[in-house]
Amino acid sequence: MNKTIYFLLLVKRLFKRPSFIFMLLMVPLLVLLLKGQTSDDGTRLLDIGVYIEENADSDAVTLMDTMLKSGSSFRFCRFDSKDEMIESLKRVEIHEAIVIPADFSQALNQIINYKKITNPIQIYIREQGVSHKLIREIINSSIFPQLAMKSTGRFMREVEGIDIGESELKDKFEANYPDVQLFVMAYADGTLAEEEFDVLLIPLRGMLAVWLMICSLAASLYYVKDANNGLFTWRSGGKRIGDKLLYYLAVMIPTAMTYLIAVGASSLMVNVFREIGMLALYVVALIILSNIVRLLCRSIKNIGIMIPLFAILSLVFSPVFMDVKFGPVNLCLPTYFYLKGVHNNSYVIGMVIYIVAAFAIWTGLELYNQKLRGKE
Amino acid sequence: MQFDISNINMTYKKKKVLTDVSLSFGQGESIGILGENGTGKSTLLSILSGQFLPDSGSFMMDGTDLIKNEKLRQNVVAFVPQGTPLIEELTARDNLRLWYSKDSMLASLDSGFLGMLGINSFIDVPVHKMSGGMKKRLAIGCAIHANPKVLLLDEPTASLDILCKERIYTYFDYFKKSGGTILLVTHDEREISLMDRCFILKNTKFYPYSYDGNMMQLANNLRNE
Amino acid sequence: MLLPKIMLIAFGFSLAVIIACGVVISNSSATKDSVKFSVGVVGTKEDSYLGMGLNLLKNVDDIKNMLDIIEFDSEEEAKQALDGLEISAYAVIPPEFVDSINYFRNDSQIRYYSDSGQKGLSNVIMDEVSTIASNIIICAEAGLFTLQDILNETQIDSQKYWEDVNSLFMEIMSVVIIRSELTEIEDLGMSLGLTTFAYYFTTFSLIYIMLISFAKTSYHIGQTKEFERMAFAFGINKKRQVMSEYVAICVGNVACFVIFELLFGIVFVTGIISITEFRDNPVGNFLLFGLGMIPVIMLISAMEMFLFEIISGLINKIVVVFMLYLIFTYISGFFYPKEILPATVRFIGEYIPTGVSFEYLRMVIQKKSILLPIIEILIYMSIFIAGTIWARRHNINKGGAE
Repeated sequence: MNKTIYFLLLVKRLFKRPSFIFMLLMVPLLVLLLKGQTSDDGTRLLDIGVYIEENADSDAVTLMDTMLKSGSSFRFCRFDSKDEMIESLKRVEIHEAIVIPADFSQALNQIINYKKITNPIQIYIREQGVSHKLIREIINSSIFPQLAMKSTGRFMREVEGIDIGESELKDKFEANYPDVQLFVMAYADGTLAEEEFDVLLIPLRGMLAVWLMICSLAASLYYVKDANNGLFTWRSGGKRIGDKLLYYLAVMIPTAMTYLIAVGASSLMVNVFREIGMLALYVVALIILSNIVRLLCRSIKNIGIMIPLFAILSLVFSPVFMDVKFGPVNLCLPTYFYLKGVHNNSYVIGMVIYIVAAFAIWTGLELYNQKLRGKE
Repeated sequence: MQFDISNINMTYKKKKVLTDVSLSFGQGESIGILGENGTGKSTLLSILSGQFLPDSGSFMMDGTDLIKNEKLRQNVVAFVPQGTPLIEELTARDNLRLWYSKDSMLASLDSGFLGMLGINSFIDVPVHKMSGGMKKRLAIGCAIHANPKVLLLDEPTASLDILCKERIYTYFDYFKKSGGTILLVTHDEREISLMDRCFILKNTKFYPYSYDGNMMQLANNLRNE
Repeated sequence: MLLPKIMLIAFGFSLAVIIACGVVISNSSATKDSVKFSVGVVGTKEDSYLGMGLNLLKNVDDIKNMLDIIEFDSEEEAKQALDGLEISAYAVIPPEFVDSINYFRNDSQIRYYSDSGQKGLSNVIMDEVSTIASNIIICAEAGLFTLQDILNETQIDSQKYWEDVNSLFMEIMSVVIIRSELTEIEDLGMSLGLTTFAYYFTTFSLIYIMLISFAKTSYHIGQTKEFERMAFAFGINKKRQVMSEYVAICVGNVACFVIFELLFGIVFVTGIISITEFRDNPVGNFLLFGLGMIPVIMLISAMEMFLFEIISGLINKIVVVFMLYLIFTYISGFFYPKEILPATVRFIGEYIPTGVSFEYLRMVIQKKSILLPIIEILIYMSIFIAGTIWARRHNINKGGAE
């Protein structure tokens, strides 16, 4: 049997199913649709409503403008009515609501003179939590420029005795405002993080990676079904691991290519060569894992039960939606190594070790299965 | 070429299935294996084809144990199981291409075994659209890709029409004349009558049986022996 | 014969989903009220002012309620702590950074490392924290530069010049430290929303039903259409076939959910997970929720049956349905709160079966009117069952293997 012909015919077989083609097209299409939902400046984590009272002074207006133009992960949206904003908060359309008092200048003057604030900014929340604390800090951060400016003005007048007008102070302050980035995020491998990043796409790579794992386990279903039908009767009794790899690759190569296209379409790709290399390792790891599952489960029904179990374990214990450490489970999941290894070579090495160990287990199970054939 | 099956024993889930099954045959023979359902006939064929490993015993060809020598066995023994060992989505041509090179397939279709099986008439039909007879002929066609010396068949003509059966029997005849040996599990009277020799598998043991055309007597033997 | 095995599967899945739910809840921002983000810092020993500033952040400033700052002697130590998830991120302060700030050169950057994999939510939060820290420094610098500009126009002596700059710096920092007085919090309560615990309990109950349905369906894979045709030949028409299978699937799913709820009830009673909405009458509310799940189970069973009927091919049934489920659960806000999704996505997420189910359960928990959600559920159920019957007719006529 010509292995190339064998491989190509297995791939041809998959493409004879319209639903398989539909699935391959659906994945990048859905990614594009999702990406289409992202805004030009990136999707924001949560929406925060902002309302400014009527007859607001210049400081209040400045604060409002600062918030609305902020490049924060939390989007500030203006409301024209306080009641409407509160209702929106109650309907869970926004995460928090802020009311800027009309006489905000007074609040600023009070704080720089260490006096009690009579009319502070009101923040309405529904539930306590770290996100609320973070948002409060972000709001404070929007006020920093005005605080610093007012403090400087007060210092000049009262300490230095320099009578500087508000407008001159503002002009000088803005002219001296450094346009620098003091902090920068980097990955473990030294590459700098993307500046623009869309929150909506955060779990996308992980979800696609789990989908690929499901495809691999589904290939096991196909294999068992074909074996039960006797398709491998005229091949060796199962010793040739190479043949099995070829069989699984017939499923994994089209799906992996779809994965690459989807990742490319989502702009999550880091570097083409690294992506392809990592993906290749991941696919090999998945194939080995799926074969182990096949040999342990043996029947279509049992493999079918394992699929959703692996799905939920991968979604929780691999860094798809969150990073959870639970060694025994993490280390059994190729998805964990793959996602962690996107920017960290230690996990790439981990994946290689995983492949070697899993391959040894697979080979052992195959040999055991060989001895057992007919008796299981 | 001489084939000797010696003392095949097989246990499945602590239950004895085959006890000291032995049989010798040469080239150009046809042997029928009879027995009630569940007596281990398919198991025996699976052992001879290498799908199962017996507890003990050998299957020798001129002094070489085919059970241990996988590579040789694949070239010598072909097995056509009961199911449909084909890829449903592909055509007959594609299924044959899994096993044949292009040239050998074309040659065989033209004037060889595949042509004799009549596969030309449905060469581009997908398997899921084929009738049972077509599928069985195609399965046989795939099985013989390595020009085997021994053909093991598990109820090959079950649920096929008469014309289809006759076609397959013509092929069996041709195969025998070419020096091949057929081991056939069957319940069909016509097939039994075509066999050179018959054996009954009963109570895990293998007994020779001479069929004289009397089905009632055969049935009694299956029950009582 | 299958029942014990199915019950065992249900038990296993219940445990897996409850653990997953617990993990998600413990990582969510609501529970992180008491658990802060831990951030490592390397390089603080280089300068005493830096150490002082860090001390202020750790012990005085309001940011201490959100960040736990841990100092490390070396980057290796910090990296190990990050890999072991002991910290969410670590920052490396280069030796020249302090001078860069002191002398207003701003030509040195602090690199921070957050999560070794792809960019995730914790990175996004660290981005915000770094922006806040950066803003403090930059705003202070702007004030100091402004003062310098003014002072340079006067004939001030050099020592007083720097004394004044330092004084202004301390002034600005003093005001920054008391910044939280500018805001006042008013807690409206959950209103239309659920508490985080209730939110994830609901979503994971739905995930459980979808998964267990999925797992049990493997028992149907491999069946050929011949059985359906035979049943049809015996007078069991497609409607009766579909309805009888549907009833069997529903009953099975309800039985599996009972196991889930029993196990979850044990977790709830022991106080490991506490649901505020259930506190007034835990047993009653739990039972009410369980009863409330029945229409949802019926909907998901109908959806599953429909999808498995129309999608042909073994591999496609599993893979396509899983992909659809993953998308549905994501855009219905099962893993991340719906609020982070764009308006269009949120809108779609609310009207697909998973979103409709979630909204219905929210009404059940909050003891509000369930009329509209029930109608939506019934509409979906009707569509799915009708679709299954139509597909079954088509498959019976087509014949052949699955």
